[in-house]
Amino acid sequence: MKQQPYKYQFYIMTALALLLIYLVGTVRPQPMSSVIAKEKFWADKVHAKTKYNVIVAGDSRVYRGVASKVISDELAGLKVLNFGFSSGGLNNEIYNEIEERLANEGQKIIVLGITPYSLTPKAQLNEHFLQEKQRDKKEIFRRRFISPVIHFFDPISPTEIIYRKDKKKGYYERFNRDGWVASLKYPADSNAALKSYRKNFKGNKVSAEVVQELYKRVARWKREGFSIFAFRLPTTEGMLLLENDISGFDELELKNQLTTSGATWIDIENKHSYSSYDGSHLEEASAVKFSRYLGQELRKNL
Amino acid sequence: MSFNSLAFLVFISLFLLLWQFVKGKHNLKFICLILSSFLFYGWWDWRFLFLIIFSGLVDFFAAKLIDKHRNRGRIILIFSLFVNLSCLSVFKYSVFLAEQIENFLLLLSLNVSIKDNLPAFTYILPVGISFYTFQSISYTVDVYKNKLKPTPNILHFFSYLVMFPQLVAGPIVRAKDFLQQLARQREVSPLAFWNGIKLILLGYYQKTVLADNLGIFVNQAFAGIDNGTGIYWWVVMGCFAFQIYFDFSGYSQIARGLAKLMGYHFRMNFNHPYLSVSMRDFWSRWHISLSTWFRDYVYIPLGGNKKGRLRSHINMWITMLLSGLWHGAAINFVLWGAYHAFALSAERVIGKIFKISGYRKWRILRWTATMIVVLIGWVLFRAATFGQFTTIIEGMFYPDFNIQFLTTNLNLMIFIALALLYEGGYFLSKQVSLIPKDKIPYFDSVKFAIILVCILFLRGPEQEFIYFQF
Repeated sequence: MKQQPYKYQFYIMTALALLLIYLVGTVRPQPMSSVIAKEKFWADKVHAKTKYNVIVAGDSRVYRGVASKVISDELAGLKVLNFGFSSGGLNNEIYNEIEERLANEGQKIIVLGITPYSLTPKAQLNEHFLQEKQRDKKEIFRRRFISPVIHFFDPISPTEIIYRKDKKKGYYERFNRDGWVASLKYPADSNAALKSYRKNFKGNKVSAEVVQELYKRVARWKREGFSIFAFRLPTTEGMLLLENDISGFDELELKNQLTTSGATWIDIENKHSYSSYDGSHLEEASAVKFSRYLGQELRKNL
Repeated sequence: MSFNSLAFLVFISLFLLLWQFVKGKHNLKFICLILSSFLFYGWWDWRFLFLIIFSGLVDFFAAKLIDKHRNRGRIILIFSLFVNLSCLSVFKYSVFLAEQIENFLLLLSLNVSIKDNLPAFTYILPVGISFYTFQSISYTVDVYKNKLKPTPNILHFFSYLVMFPQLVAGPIVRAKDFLQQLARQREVSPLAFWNGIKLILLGYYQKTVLADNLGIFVNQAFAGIDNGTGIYWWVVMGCFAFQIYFDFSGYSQIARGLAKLMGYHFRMNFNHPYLSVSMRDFWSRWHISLSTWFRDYVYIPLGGNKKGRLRSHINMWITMLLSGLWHGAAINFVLWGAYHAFALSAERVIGKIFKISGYRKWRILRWTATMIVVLIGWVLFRAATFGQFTTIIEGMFYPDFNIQFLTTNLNLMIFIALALLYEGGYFLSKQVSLIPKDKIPYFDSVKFAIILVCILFLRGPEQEFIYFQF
């Protein structure tokens, strides 16, 4: 320190600061649901150019309930993308996007996670998907490449550190690169979503045109050599009854028609053995369990 | 661009890299500095670059002409002042003046609409106009008064006027201090480099950790969310006092630190004003570059305290009213200036009376009284309306000692404690030496490493520097 004390002071400070930054950045309490991770997640899902062998499409029950990595493990490492969106409707816009994202070489597998809502006219608006799709290019760049770097330096409030071990009320979400959002809500309420679904289906039933379009596209995919699978996502018994009752959804008819069109329908065994934190979506552990089952079913049928 | 933005981080990294290559090349480094400063300033609104260039050109040539034609110096100076003050008036005060005229005419039952007929550009305040206009004025006045030789190098002049660290929020640099620094080749010693880094870190800590976090509570209080009375408002105003101090002082520290990294020196702008034991003391520690500017270019030319006791009071009142108006084109700033003038006048009178009976001994009492006066003054500064001002003042003097709002807001308590530690730590370090002298370098390294980590992880929500609006 004697010869160049000030330079050494600067070097010591820098080294120590780097060490502390790394320590704080890695051990800091993680937010229950990071906005930056969420923004990157959706921007990547819509705008990444990566190609996949398996694409699982659907609505929020898909993106919260299907862990792509688990399916990939069951399918000997095939690349799997969860292509679910909030209030996502199955329509040509999504089908075209699925085709774009399928690998040019090797196996091409499309898995349709069907919910009654995804076949309704309201869902065809695909607002969430389009909002992401139509986002300004600069903003997409920021969300995908700039914010995640800065995310490491997200500020923390002192109370977050002090109360880091306390479980807070709210949504816990972990955004995975493969399109799955591991989700949990505290406290859980397995009836919470029923009210909003009852409202959503008012004047908004499963559309015959949407279903016909689906059959047509499945038939076309079959002719083009794709493997197509479809299943109804597991949810709570209450939700299942509600949807069967008021949505105009006919699972048996859909299963038969899709099978005729060339898809393989997967009947979910023990469909009520999974738990939901809100009465609609699967919580993290159930999503993993379900995805393993789905992966095994896909493997059996391929 | 603002110091606390990502764009600035990229800008300053590239600038300092470039500076290493050009710092030895006389004119090239000034071209680099001026263009970078234009980029920095133009980031807000490039159109106002023309204003600053125009104002600068007028003063550069005015000073040359004053020096060349001494017998007509007064007229040229008046012309230069007219141009500068006109620009300031048009962009900063025209809406305010129009409002006052409208109000006056309304008293005479004349309903005339002036404000609505003003051109749109008068509604936009060019960032930092008050700062660079004052710098420009001081240059021509100093040349006129023969205190300074005009610089023959236009690059030197514009480097002085638009140097980006101090361009938008000071400190107000004096030409006679800075032009001579520009004329010499200056090396950055390891000590200057380390001091520069420390100033920058302290500045960012003051702004992002202390000011921005305390600002959350202050903004909520002034937005009328969960307002209390009594001690609540004293805490709010205490927090605002810290917020505005750390916000502005933070900017000045960063500016000084950046200048140091470039080999230049700006004078200190804040000297722990909340340790003041009188209002006079406060004004010798708060926004020093502005206070001394007003002292040298307004108070002393008016006669200062050389023309009798009453005249010195009048001169001080004029200076303080103008200082208030400098802060903003609104009646509350003028009242704030008047309030401080009143406090300074009262202090002078009381000081004269109490000198005999040991006035100087009561340090704690004097400090307390000074802080109460300052805090009440900040209400005038911060309140959006006169109604809000009266509500807060009533609230402050309502006997309510409930501190539940504090106990349920742990974050706020932590940042108040950090603010008190910042100022208290300085005060203590002047009284007792807590760290052995030979350990100070190590302590400094650890302290600033922790400060850097705090800046990164404890920073508050990004807020614009308060003084940008002036």
